[in-house]
Amino acid sequence: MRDGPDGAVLLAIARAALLDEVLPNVPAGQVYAVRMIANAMAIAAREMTAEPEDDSGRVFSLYREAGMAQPAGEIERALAGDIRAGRFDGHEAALAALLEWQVDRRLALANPRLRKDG
Amino acid sequence: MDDAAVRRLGAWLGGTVREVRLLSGGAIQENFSLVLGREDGTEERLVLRRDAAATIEASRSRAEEFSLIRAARAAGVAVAEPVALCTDESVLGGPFFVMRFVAGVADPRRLVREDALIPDRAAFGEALGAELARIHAIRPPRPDLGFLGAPEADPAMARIRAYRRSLDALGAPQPAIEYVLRRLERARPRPAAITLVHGDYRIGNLMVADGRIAAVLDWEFSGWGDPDEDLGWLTARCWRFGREDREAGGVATREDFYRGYERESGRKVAGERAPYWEAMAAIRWAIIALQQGERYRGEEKPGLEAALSGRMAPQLVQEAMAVVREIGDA
Repeated sequence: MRDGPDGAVLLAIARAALLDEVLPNVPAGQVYAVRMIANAMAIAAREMTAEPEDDSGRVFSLYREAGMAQPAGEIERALAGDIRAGRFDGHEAALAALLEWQVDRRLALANPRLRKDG
Repeated sequence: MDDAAVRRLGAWLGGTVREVRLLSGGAIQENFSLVLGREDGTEERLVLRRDAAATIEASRSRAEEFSLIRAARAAGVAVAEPVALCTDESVLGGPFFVMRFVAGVADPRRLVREDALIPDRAAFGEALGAELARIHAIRPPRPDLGFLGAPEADPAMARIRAYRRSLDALGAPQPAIEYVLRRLERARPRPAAITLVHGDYRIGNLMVADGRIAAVLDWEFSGWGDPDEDLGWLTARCWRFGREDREAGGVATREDFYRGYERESGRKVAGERAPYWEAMAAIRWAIIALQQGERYRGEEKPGLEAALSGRMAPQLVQEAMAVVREIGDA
């Protein structure tokens, strides 16, 4: 156990202090750097609190739908390899839906403003 | 650059070098501005370009870039006048070249935002097209550009293969990027006639003065290829710097850009090919972002901008997936 607030909350408070108290007094040439720092802090805080994502169920059903044997070993690597080899060529709609979901999950952490329904 | 290096540089250039200043250089090359004083009392402002420590993607050597700039100048492209190439490593520890200084603004955010820098955006859009058309007038075979090798018969496939190699080198599987590359593989266009392709023709690599293109910069990714690739790189959403309504680099309309290109080249732009190369552009940028995001591993004091780059990849992949949907199979 640690004393509160926890790491993500601490980052959020520090970020607010940076933007509200430090940024207004920063010379114009360094505004961009401060904004980058604030962005890095926001990403780190989101990644710290995010629930681990397990998309293996979605990948398995895609393989089933495509009539392919279930991937063995590292699932993402198998999926990437099968896409490159053209094994999903006839199943693009289902594949694209899964991949869009994966990209959306990454955007939710990296840049939630750019999510389509965000 | 230490004092001894500056003295050696002056001796090599036949004068005295003053006011050496590191310009905002790229990750791959360093650019210095310097003033060369000559014995007759005249002064000249020059730019020196040499390799930086980090190299992201295989790019042209300084000697090759110097030849490309010379060829471009001869073709009527706006470039800084090349002055001298030095391959003698005893001067600065590595090859470099020197060109005449060109005044202007290259900062893309300013060029996108400040209308005072580009008062006539329609004329500028046409100039963007005309300048690129002059680059594309350089065609193989060219003995002076022999280092570019033989043109690829299928430039799109060559790109796809190169990006797959980059992904393999990065190591982490990227199914969404693989999907876009597979779609691009299946939808390959019949290549336009092979020309010189600048390879990084966008706002940020153009020096702008008095609302005009004063110089096309950064020839390190140039090679023989499909000229439509350069068109798609400039109009890709990821190079509009937030002004998505101005489809040509965030500074002009697509129509003005194409009009200028067509007038200068005499070649009609195949607008239906734009999504193909714009998807390719987003994927290329996504892979570069992932590569930059990995740079921290080898660095004692990693830069924040590079460290954050990898987190840009999802938005670029999202963009590529949206664009690639507009393309049918070939």
